[in-house]
Amino acid sequence: MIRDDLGRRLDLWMRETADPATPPALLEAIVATTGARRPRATWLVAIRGSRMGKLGARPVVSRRRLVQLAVVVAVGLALVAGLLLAGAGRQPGPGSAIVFVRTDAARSADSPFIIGPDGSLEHSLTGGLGIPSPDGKRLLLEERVDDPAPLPDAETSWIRPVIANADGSKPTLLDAYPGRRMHLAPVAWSPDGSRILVSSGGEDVAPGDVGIYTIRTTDGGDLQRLVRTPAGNGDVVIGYSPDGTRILFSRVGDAPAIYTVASDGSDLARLSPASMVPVDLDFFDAVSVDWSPDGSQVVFAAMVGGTLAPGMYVVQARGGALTELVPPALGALSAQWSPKRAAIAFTSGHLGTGRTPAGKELTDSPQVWVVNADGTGRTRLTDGSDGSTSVAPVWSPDGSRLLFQRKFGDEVTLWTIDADGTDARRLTIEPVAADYVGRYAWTTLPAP
Amino acid sequence: VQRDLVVRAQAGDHEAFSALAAGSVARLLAAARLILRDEDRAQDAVQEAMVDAWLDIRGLRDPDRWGAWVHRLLLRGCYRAAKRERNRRVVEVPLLAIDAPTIADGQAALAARDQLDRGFRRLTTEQRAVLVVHHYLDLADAEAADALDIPIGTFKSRLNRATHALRAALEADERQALAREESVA
Repeated sequence: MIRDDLGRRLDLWMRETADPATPPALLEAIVATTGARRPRATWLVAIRGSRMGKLGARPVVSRRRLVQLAVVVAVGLALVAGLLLAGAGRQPGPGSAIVFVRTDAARSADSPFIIGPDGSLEHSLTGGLGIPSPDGKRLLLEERVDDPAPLPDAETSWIRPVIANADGSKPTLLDAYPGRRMHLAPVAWSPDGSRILVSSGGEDVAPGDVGIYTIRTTDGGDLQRLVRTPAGNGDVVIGYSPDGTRILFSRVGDAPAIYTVASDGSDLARLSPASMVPVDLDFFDAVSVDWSPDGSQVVFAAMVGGTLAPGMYVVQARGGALTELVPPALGALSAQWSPKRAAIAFTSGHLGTGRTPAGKELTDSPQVWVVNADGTGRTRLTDGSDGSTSVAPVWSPDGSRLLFQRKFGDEVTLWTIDADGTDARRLTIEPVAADYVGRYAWTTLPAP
Repeated sequence: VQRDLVVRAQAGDHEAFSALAAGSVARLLAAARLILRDEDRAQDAVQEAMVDAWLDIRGLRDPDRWGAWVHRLLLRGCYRAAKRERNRRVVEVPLLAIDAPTIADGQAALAARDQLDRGFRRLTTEQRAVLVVHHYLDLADAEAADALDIPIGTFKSRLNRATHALRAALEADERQALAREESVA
């Protein structure tokens, strides 16, 4: 009898057994506990190409995106990595995966996902991703730590780095400055893994504390300021140069410019002249400036003289004369250097005067192009003959393919394509948003 | 109405969140009690789930998914609570089989419920969670898989295994009862 109707018996037993009586004290405790805190703002680790960087503080001009770094936990990462690696035989880049977010219609919330480069095994990431250490053995995460004595109507918790094993296990909070009212939001590992680049900014951070810092990996101590961000501006950190000697960042706000600075905070160098305004695609930070693979040069997209037609330029890492690779007439809205060769993927087109849900309007049918770093071989990879636009390409870790977003009507989908323009494949069946999105990357997975 | 409350809560309206919590806690607590078989741990799990819901509510992409989302948060809270217990090396008391009641006339239904209760306690937290989302929360397979944060195929196989485990526990219970009856005879 047990075997025949166990399901029905369980249904009945659970309905009879389940006790929905709620102690008033429980609800009171929930209301009191939550009432003392604010919901976390939502934004994710921005993962760029094969390197992982993170957005830095945003300025007053884009306060809606001000940095309130979300708690990032590598929940499920090991499992997901295992699944993807298990299918590596049918993927172009073994051990690589694409991380992206789906954005709701109101653009008020993003949900992170991971998917195989062939479009298989899409899986939601409930907690987001960490940043792998240079040796791939550890992950850099972040967590909010409650302020022990929060000020009235002010931030009640502050971001601190967390280091965990590559599978997310054994997390260690790095909080050498408990109670200090500034975020220490992890941005990147130094190439030798000894220090962590952190960013501080956002609401309720004292203006004098807004900037870019490094801390010691071992205990989170030895806070060293590299850059003090002027009021009215925000510094979006692109990341370390491959040799770790310099850091690249884009200042947005009242005094927009591209800068590099030595990793000890000395030798600040402005790369873009005062006559230029670097492109800031509201929907995808930091996709319009990038290091060359050897760290000797920087490529960026910028507008001259207050126009809305950006060109693309290459400059030495410590500044100097600019070399124009893409003229403003064609336009360059993004710029991403191949991790493997002297080629740069970019988005053609111009900025408009209007606004869309994603931010600034893009005009003149933006499409994906590739150009050699010497300006030769400029090739359009997407044609938009169906009325679609294709924007913000980023490279696969092996430099063989590109990941980009295609907008057709009110649907944005992610696609991949060979760097020579062949073999375009739609990655996501379900659209990821109704307007342009940011925060996607083609990344190497940590070993499971 | 619930959607409006979620949207308002996402905008920082704590009163709206409190209303959401008030409407959700009873069902969540009942499920947590079934899964954890411990009142204190169940309340802890529910409180953790609701605090997580408030802190991360802006990450809820679709306000209509509030129910599914808090189920997921609750299950995570239950797993954390169970893990904490394991870490403290507190041994769950899984069954009361030795003292199984003697079945008398009119008491058969009660005995059957007790037998199910004993069998259910023998299961792991994960197995109980799978059975609770299916039989108590009555979630469709896709929703249950989403709540457990596992693929739907994995959910089905886990449900199958949990059901088998419960059957085995009930059979063991019956064998013990039979052995006692024979020894008395």
